[in-house]
Amino acid sequence: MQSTPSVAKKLFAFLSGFGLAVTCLLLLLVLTWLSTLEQPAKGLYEVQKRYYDAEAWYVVPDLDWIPKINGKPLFIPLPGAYLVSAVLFVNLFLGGILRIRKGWKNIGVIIAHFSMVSLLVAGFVSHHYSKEGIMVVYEQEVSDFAQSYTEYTIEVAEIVNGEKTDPYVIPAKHLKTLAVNQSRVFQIPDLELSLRVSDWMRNSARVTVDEDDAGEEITQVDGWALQWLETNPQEELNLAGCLVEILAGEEKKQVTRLILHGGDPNACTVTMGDKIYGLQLRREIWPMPFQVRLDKSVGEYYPGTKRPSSFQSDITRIADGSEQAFRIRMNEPMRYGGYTLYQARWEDRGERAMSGFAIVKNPSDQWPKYSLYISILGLTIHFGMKLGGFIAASTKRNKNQSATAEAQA
Amino acid sequence: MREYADTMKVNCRWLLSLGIIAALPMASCRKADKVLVTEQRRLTMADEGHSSLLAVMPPEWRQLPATQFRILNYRFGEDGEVFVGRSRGGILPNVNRWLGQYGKPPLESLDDLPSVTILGQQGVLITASGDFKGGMGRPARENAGLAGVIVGAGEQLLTVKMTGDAQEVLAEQERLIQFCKNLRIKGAESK
Repeated sequence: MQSTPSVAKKLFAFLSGFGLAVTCLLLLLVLTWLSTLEQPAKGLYEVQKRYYDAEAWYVVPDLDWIPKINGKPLFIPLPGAYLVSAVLFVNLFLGGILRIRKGWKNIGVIIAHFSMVSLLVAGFVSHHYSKEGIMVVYEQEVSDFAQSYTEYTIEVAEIVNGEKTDPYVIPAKHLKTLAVNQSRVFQIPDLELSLRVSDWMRNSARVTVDEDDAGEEITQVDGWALQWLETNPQEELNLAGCLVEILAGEEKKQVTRLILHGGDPNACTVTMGDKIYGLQLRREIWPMPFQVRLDKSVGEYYPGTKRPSSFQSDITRIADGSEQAFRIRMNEPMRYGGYTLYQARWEDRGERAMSGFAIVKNPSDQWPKYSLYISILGLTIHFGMKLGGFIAASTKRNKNQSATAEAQA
Repeated sequence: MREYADTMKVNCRWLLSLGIIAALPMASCRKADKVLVTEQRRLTMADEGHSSLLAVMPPEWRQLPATQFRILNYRFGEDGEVFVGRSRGGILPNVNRWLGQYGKPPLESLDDLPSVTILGQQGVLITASGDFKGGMGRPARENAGLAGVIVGAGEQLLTVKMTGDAQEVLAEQERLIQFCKNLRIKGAESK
């Protein structure tokens, strides 16, 4: 008697099936294609966020050629690439490693599947744990930090005798997720103060207002207000802004409020008791465990443009009391302590040349390469075994045919 | 058949484990409305700021962002302002320009003006009160006060100007003088 498979078995069969694998791969192909088409109009940051973010459960393509019904574009929701990749990971793990028939004959295929699983794991680690910023250094100058291209943080530091102390950092993930009319309270126990951040604007301008005529609908502080601006597709050009209320004591009483803007060159201060605190909204500062001195920066522009066609930098890396010279060129980065420095920008406006180094720290930096090697190994074993089997079978068949022919003769 | 069933049991356990692992990050997706901040970073060259001056601000003031013409920018009281800037021309023409904004007659010389130590030199202290005529983007104001210090800094002048309500400016004048005395050029502060 044959029993009906349970729901769990049916689910397992579905999740580990070929159909799901093919669907996921086709969806990834379509999502990559659509996001590439959207990128010129919306910008890389926006498209990555809409299509590839962990929180992008679904995406509705927004392209001019999508058919319109009653003037509105057709609503075609597609699953986000992160979700599809997660499903593909489960599918490959269950189908390609657990469910697959084990044995020497399949060892190559299992290795190849493992390589694809490890490639997806590398993508997951990179998505959640990699960090990227830019270090800008002028010739004969030294830098010891990189700065995020897009992520804004609020830094709060005590100022002692006019000098800043190590700042507390409110991470970007808690700020950029603030919706319109939403506020969030941040407690800094070590400084015994709290902030309520509201009116978050992804792109804004700090404007002066007449303090007497501003009216209640405009939030103004010390003659300044924030003006909302349309988001620029080039995310690094957007200047965020927000309103901050300083709260003190158990009852979180408002002491004062400040307007913070991403374009401000220095902090705004607030005095609480005998202590002065500086608050600044700025792109995330990323301290490096080494310093970079730019000894020489050379490059060339495409004729008649300010777009560099080639560049290279001679640098000195200063770390642990020792200095080491390096040359960084296109596709020839410097790697040190888990950090990779690529030259991403170059500019020479006459006085001093400038090099911009993209700094990446990605725990899975080399994993795709290793996954590729594993894949090559698996497929080589598989094809080798198939070829060996084919040659052996052919030789045996030829021998049999020869023997039959001899016997007939 | 039994072997197949056992394998499926193991596989289903794997499936359940994966489901739980996948559900964990989803559960933490929602951002809380109250966040505890403990992350701290060390100072870097990015914290040296754009200004070459190091100022010790009185706790009664509050610092605002610098602007094109204000290297250092402060507020005090209701709407009092203190700002450090650079200017060109001689000290006397600038003193007379400031006095003119408050309807005061120009000076013939700087000899009668009190001096204030600033950046290791002797600057002049200018005070005035009256009706501010308006200018530089600021509206006219009655009963306004001015206290300021001007000193030569290379080919330029360094100016520290305090404006606001006449009474408030008078009350803050000592802090302004102390602020000027404490003003230093970065890198030379310990010398």
